[in-house]
Amino acid sequence: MPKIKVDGQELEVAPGRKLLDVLEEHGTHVPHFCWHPGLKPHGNCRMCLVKVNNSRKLEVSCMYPCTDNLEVTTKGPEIEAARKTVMEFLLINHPLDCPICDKAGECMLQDHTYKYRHGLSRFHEDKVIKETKDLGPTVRIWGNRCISCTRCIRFTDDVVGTGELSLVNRGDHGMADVHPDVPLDNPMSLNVVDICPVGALIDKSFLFQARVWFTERIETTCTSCSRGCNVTATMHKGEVKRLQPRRNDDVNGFWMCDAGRLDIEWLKSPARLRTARGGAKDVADQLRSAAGRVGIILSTSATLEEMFLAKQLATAVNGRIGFVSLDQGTRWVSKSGFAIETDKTANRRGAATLFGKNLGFEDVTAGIHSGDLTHLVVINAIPNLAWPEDIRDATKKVSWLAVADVLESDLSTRAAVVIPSAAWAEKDGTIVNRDGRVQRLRRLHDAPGAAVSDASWLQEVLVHLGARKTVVSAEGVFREAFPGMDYGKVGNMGSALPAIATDVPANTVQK
Amino acid sequence: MDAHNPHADAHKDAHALVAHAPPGLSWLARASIAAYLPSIAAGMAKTLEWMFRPAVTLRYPEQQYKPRKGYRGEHRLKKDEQGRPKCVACFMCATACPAECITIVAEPAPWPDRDKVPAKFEIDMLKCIYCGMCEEACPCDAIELTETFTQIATTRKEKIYDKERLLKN
Amino acid sequence: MTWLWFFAKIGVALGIIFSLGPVCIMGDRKISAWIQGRVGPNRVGPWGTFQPIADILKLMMKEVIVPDGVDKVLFLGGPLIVFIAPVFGYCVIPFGNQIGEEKLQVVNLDIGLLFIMSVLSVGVYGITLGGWASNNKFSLMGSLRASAQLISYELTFGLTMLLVVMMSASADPLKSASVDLSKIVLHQAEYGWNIFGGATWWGLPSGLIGFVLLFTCAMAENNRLPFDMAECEAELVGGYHTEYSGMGFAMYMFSEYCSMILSASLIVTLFLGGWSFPYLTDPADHSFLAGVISIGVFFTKICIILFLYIQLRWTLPRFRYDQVMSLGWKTFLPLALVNIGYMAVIGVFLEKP
Repeated sequence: MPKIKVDGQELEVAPGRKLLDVLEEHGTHVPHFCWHPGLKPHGNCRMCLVKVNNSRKLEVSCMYPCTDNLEVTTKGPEIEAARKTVMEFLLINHPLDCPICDKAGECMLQDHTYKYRHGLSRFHEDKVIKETKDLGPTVRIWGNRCISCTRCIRFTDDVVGTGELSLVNRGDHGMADVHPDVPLDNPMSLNVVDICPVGALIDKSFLFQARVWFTERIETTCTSCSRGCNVTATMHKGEVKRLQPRRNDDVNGFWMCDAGRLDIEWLKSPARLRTARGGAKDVADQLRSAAGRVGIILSTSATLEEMFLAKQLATAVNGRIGFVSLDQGTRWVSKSGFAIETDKTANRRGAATLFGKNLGFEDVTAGIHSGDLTHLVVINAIPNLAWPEDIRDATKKVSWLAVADVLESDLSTRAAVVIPSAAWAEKDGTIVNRDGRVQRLRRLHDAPGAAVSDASWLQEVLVHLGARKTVVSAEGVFREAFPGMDYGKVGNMGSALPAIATDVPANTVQK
Repeated sequence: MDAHNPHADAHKDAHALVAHAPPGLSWLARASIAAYLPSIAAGMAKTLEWMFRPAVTLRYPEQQYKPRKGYRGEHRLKKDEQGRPKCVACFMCATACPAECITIVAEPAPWPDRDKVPAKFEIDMLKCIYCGMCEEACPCDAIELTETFTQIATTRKEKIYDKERLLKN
Repeated sequence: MTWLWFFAKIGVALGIIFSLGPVCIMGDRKISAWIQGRVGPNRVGPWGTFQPIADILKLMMKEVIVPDGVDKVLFLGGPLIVFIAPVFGYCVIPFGNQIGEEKLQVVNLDIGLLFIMSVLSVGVYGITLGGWASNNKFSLMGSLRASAQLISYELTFGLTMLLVVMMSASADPLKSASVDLSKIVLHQAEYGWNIFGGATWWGLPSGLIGFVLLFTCAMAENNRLPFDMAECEAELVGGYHTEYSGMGFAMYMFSEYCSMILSASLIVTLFLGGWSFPYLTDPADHSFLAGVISIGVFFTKICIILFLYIQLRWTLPRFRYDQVMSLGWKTFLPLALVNIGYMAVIGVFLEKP
């Protein structure tokens, strides 16, 4: 194991690691542009210069391997002077359009300019004008702002493997660009916006939506597939403006897919259910009278808490539970191994944990067709779900139907009781990804209209039935379901799925 | 005596108040209203003098007030030579605004010479404190405070000026 | 004929008090404006002269709010008491010389001075009751201050009146002191105004001091600034009339001016020779013209005193409460006693009747 000395402090590092990698991990911040922990180092921006004992000139730390007895200095007048020169050089052709640049406020170049700037530019000539254009359906480039760090190019080459982007032109005219007729349209394309250290690459869906310093960021989990990528939601005026991946090496690394990122539009769709027809009391009354003849169909996108409560409800009214889920497309895996799953529901693994491996609705629909079940409760959290014909027929056949859904559907128009459900961004809860990792969903904003979270109305029904005493928060239900666990222990990065409470505490309804 | 007793200090202060009177005469000075009378007479003379001075009141609706240069009144959105709003919706004014009265919604520009224009630009004149920070923050010299100080409205809604209203100012 | 005279005199007395009231309100606003370099009310009527009418109309049209938890009878009765007291007081003020056999005084009471004293102090009952009935701590505090102030200054007030009685005795033709106001005025008309010491040269300091004392005490009893402790806005919101609105408030406000007029009349009567003026009025001339002139003189004198009142209000800042009290008890009372002592001792030794 090589031993190195960073600013006088000794460190032991694995052989062959690059210096900047070690420094960042150690907590010694060295300014950089082209280096990204998820990409191969390239060493072109020259910002991460440090002084090492076995070289007379300053070395770029992102490319410098750690060797034994290496002594590194990251501060000092020499290094500061070098950084100032690099900053002045980078700013030669960078336009001063921060006021209208969407990156302003979260821009590495802007931050570094404030911290390490030279102050005055000695460049008096005209700046090079480069073009502004769409790179693909999702990303737009402002060529003027590009500092040719090649982060995006290395991303498409090494991470995605599609390699749409390359550096075109030479010298000060260089910018990242696509080849003619090869748009940047891979399933992970929007990640180039996050890794761009300047405002050159801009997410078209977020363009001009909000200045980032007015926004609030909340850490949550993506629900668009069973991978459960960790994300940070950017909130502005009570709306989710964008999702960005949050580093979690056990789940998604640094990235997320475009589909999950853009899956926020439907939250403010006019087709959202906003008004209730009937309520928890009606559901409780009906189910009490029909105990033993009740079917419950749940989506595998429901949170663990909702599933646990549905299980309590099924026990209380002696009903059968079935599941509806959504599989789409084929599994896509990037060059680096980042996968987009076909299972488009967030919590199938959680359902399997609570209800066993057999997650189908056939048991319920068969019961309806045979006349054993006369009452059906459908609780769905999957947007725009194409209902299987079997379920659709069953809903027509039952004598009483209650639907809790996020979007309007033919089921909700037909139902006797309709409860508008809060979508994933409007409720607290936990979901289990395909690898069995419990992760948190955080309430980002208010639910539209009269929409309530399924966990709360299910608890109300249970209270009316006498199977629960009070309505508690989602975390309260989670604690009930997993004794000894709470949201604090799940944390921001998720944790392994704990043991479920063996005894589901619910009483059968006394008639 | 306890030096930290505040009441003891207060007592001392009370003595200090009358200490400026000549020693031995303080009770007389306090007892005599003659000490008050000259000052009162001087005050009466002053007020009498003022009664015959001309009034400085501006009789407002008939006489109009002309604000001085640099007066900070209602806002105006400026236009360029082609009559387009100069504003590029950079939100600098909204950021600088201490009263948070500026609401901007941006949209892509229809003209090639800029990226961004305001789709909506509203100032809540009732929240505004007329500090002029927006004017200072503007990188495009697109907003300025005019000398208009009469602002009449019958509803709160009227006091939220939209882009058209601000361009008209 | 007697009844006619009686009603005519009532008419003149009420006329003075009720016509001067609004004029005072207007004068207060106008004079304050002039002193402060403003224009003052100038929109209603020519030169704003209808302003008091507009004020009263406005107040009349406003809702009389009776808050929860007030003693209704006292709450509504308070303003009435304050309003009626100065009107009562006015019936013994001699506002002119005799016309024929008729003295220009509504009632010629032998104990006019005592009557005035008692009536003037009734006014504070209205203030105290109104403030107390308001069920408001600030109002109560204002009322208490008003009563405390009245008690403090009533002593000096009384002693100063005693001084006037002694002065009128010093050269009275009947050689006896009188509390009859018309006799006090007649005495001044013949021998000289009390402010200048009445009939004697050595009474001059006494008269001057007495005048200042009476003037100040009257101001304090009327709760006029700088002595308006009972309603000082900075400490007590509105003092005793915090809870009053509409006509209740209007009566409090109007009665303040009425008692101001009564006090001014009293000062004029006691110290400034009443209706008399050298070379202008002749106590022996009982013709109609001379009577009218005497009324005019009296009226003019009142106006001058009222002007002083108003100007003082806009000149001096408000006293602190403890200052008001110490001025009353520690300065005015001893001074008034010394003043009377001087008058009595000198009178006995120098001008032995």
